[in-house]
Amino acid sequence: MGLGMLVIILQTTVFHRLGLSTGFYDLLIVQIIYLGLYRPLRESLIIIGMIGFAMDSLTGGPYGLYLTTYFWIFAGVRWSMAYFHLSNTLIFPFVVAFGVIVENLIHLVGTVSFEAAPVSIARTDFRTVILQLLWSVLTGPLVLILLNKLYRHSEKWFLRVLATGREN
Amino acid sequence: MFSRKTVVILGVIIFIAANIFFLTVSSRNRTSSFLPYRISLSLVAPLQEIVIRWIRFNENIWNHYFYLVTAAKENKQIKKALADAEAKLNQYEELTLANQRLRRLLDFKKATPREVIAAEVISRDPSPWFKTVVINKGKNNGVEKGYPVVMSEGIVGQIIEISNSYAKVLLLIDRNSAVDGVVQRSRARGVVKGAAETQCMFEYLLRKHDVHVGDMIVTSGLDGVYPKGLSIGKVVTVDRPHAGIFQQVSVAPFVDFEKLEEVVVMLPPLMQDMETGR
Repeated sequence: MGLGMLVIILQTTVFHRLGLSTGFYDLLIVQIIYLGLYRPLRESLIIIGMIGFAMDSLTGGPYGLYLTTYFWIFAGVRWSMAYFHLSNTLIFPFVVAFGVIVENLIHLVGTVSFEAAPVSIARTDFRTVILQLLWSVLTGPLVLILLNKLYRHSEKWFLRVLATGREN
Repeated sequence: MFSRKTVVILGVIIFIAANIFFLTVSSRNRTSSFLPYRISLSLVAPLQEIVIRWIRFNENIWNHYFYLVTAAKENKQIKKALADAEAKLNQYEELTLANQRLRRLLDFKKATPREVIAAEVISRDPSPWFKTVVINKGKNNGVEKGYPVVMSEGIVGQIIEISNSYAKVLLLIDRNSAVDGVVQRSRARGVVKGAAETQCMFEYLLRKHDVHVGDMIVTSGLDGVYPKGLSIGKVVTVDRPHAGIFQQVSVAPFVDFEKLEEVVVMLPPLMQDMETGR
């Protein structure tokens, strides 16, 4: 959860300064995919709820747009696990790309359907999506692997601290 | 005849006298070279040279080592000083730029008839599909939902969400933004809507209305949000399709939304101002 908050803050402040505001994909997608692949359902849903809520509070889109997006990415990953071996590293780029496509599709629908006035889609929007896909395919798997390692280490560390506390 | 002791003493005295004599004679002829000395010099000097060179070589290494250590230390200190100076210079440049921006805002504040509150942009919308920013002024500062947000260059957007200390601003370039505007030259009226990353569309402008590339679009004041006469942008393309009653006009906003740092929120006019017609 803390990591998610850190990513949210970085994405809304630092990324813009680095010129990664539009062409770079939402890094939280990777976290949602990680939750779908490796974490228990209840824990995942709580984290998704909190992250989605935080993102919804910062965006100009309709309320619940990010919550919906993250929920469907999570559900898609969980559902696909029954048919594909998603935890295979070679499939990671496709899984992350899937997440990016789902997010952009939902946001597009959110932009077009939920607003009172008719809205237009510009050529730059397609360019943005393609850029996001490229970034996600290139860096997403790496981020997913790093995230997995980070979670494992932090879990081990937490259990060790807990055990030491009990012994004392 | 002489005792042995006397012989030794005499011998020593004669030796000393001879030695003094020899030294006196030799000191008088210092310039003339003496062959054995020359030979000796030729033999010893090269060895001396080798030894002295070796000593000097070691001395040099030793001195250079210490010199290098000192130089490395000095280099480190100089680099640090340079980095500090660069950081300070950068800080001064930032301050100069901020000062310029704030001066423009101050001028704008003086020029505008309404009360305004200066605010800083603290974050951007995480989604590329929506164009909003969060500013560091909220209810506690007197900001309310629907208030216009502007800059000296032109309008920025309006407040769409508010908390005690922060507010979310829907930017002019967001697809959901609509501002009632007029062509400053011909007074033709239309609605400026967000369209793409950097441009807006000037919609509902009738075919018969006069508009050209380069025309300035300003707020009409009829939408109840923005006061009349604020700059919006400049017309960049005008397209009159064969069918339809409206023209397709695209507008480049004056505000650079990528470099948004400080903005001002316009408060509604006070009652006495409204009565006096300010």
